[in-house]
Amino acid sequence: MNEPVVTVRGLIKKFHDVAVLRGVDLTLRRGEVLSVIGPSGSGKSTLLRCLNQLEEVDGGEIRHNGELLGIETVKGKLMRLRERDIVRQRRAFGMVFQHFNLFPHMTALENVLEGPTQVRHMPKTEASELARAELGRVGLASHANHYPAELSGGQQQRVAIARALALRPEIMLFDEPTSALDPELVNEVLDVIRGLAADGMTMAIVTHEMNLAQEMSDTVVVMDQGQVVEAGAPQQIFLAPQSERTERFVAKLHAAQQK
Amino acid sequence: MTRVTDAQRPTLPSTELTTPHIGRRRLSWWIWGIVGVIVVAGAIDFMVTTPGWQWNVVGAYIFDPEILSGVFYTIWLTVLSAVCGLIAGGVVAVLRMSENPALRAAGTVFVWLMRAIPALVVLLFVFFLGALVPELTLGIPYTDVTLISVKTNDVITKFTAALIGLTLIQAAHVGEIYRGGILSVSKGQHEAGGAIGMTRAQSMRRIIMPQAIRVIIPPLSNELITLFKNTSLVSVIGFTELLTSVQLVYGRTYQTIPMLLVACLWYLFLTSIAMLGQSALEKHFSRGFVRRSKVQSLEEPA
Ligand SMILES: Nc1ncnc2c1ncn2[C@@H]1O[C@H](COP(=O)(O)OP(=O)(O)O)[C@@H](O)[C@H]1O
Ligand SMILES: [Mg+2]
Repeated sequence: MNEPVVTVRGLIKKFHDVAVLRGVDLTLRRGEVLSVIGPSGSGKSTLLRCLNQLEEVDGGEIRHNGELLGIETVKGKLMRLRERDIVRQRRAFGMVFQHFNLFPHMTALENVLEGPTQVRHMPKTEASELARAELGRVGLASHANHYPAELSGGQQQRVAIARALALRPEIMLFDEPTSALDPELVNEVLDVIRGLAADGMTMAIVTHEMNLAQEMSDTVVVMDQGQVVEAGAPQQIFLAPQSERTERFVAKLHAAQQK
Repeated sequence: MTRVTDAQRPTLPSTELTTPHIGRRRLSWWIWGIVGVIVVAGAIDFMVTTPGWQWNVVGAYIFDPEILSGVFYTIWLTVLSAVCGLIAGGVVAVLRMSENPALRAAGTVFVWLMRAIPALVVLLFVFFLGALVPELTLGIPYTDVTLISVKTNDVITKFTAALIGLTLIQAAHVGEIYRGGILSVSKGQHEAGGAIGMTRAQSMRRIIMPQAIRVIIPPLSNELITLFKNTSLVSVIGFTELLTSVQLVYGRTYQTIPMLLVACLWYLFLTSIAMLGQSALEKHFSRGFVRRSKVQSLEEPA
């Protein structure tokens, strides 16, 4: 097995004193595709958002290649990092949101260019080449000059993926990347994600897509009420679940898929 | 899915295919049209035939140097207090959205005061500030260290009082407009900025502000047009902008109505120009929010 890239130990996250993550443990290895499934409200999005520090963590630790994320030890106490350091640590992660969150005032190309030019300070021509290549990778080279409002949901999500990839992240995080899409647009996005998996990208994907979780992932993690209920290979989770809660949730997914 | 083939489509006589379609005009359309024509005709008749307007006096004064000087000072005061107000409004917005509770409270109290007190009263207060605080001192509070100290009445002239008063009022309104615009941009946009490695400041500048400005421009333009008209309030402290210069003339000549008409014509003219500017700005900042009918697609590289 490859070496761990991200390790999560005893992660706790509260919103207004309500614990939403209650001691989550997780290991993400290099080149691994990890799917996170579980009922709505179980804390899947919060977990992803903690990984790239869009949320501040209340307890436990996240390490990336051994480095503690978001905190440092100062005179024996754990202090939150300054923004500068958080921004630096975040660069290892690319994030794709359920609702795309493209910048509506920029064209597809400008969306993808924004990170390389503004954050990485890449020269214009080099960045432009890179951005066009990334748009090409998601099959949208011809739509570079379209604004998000002029693209379908599936196309917008593919631009969002290109935008994240343009920063050359080590790990890609997907939060229900196809949930906001019309059914006929789901596959074009799944194809892009499959392509990334084939290229060996390390990914954590929150999803309700059984297909995605079943065929693509190396590991499936089942969450419920802020905890990891079960983690294992897809065959185990979907065919021989160890926990009763997993069994119930998988049965529900199956039922939903039949419809 | 059932397809309608050409053979199944009902065929239309050829005249129905070539005649353009027109909307149905109801009786009410005609009634309101006629009412409109009568009202407009009456208004024109009133403007032209009523001798009290004294159009000859209007003509004689509209480009009178005294009036033009008033027009100039109205514009000058508007521009200066607009610039100061737009900047000070930024400060107010930053205070109101600060994470520091003391700063937030300061912003809230300021906005509350400026909204609750009538503009006219604020102007009078600033003008008579010397009666309340004879000396303005810059130093360290509760110590004897003084950096600058000046007599209030040396600083507060009719002009500076007008400028400061209008700026204060503007700052509160503009600050709230900025804040509303920034809050109107969804949280997901901040996060998307963060996710591509931007700092909060970078997200603000590159992502949030360009979108907020689209929401901000219409109320901000209205605010500036209101400011332009509000400059007439400073006649209460005797600064000779347009209204005051008109008042000075009719104070001598007693030609009140035609002189007020002169002022109206200038206000109408200048406001109309400002409105043209407004619609041009709105169009400019709508980038990405209106679907263009035609998008240049690039050729897919082979
Ligand atoms: N910003 C927030 N403020 C307060 N509560 C939140 C916030 N974000 C998420 N929650 C709560 O945390 C719980 C987990 O949410 P989430 O991680 O979005 O679940 P999932 O993605 O599994 O559906 C939910 O009960 C949700 O209401
Ligand atoms: Mg979620």
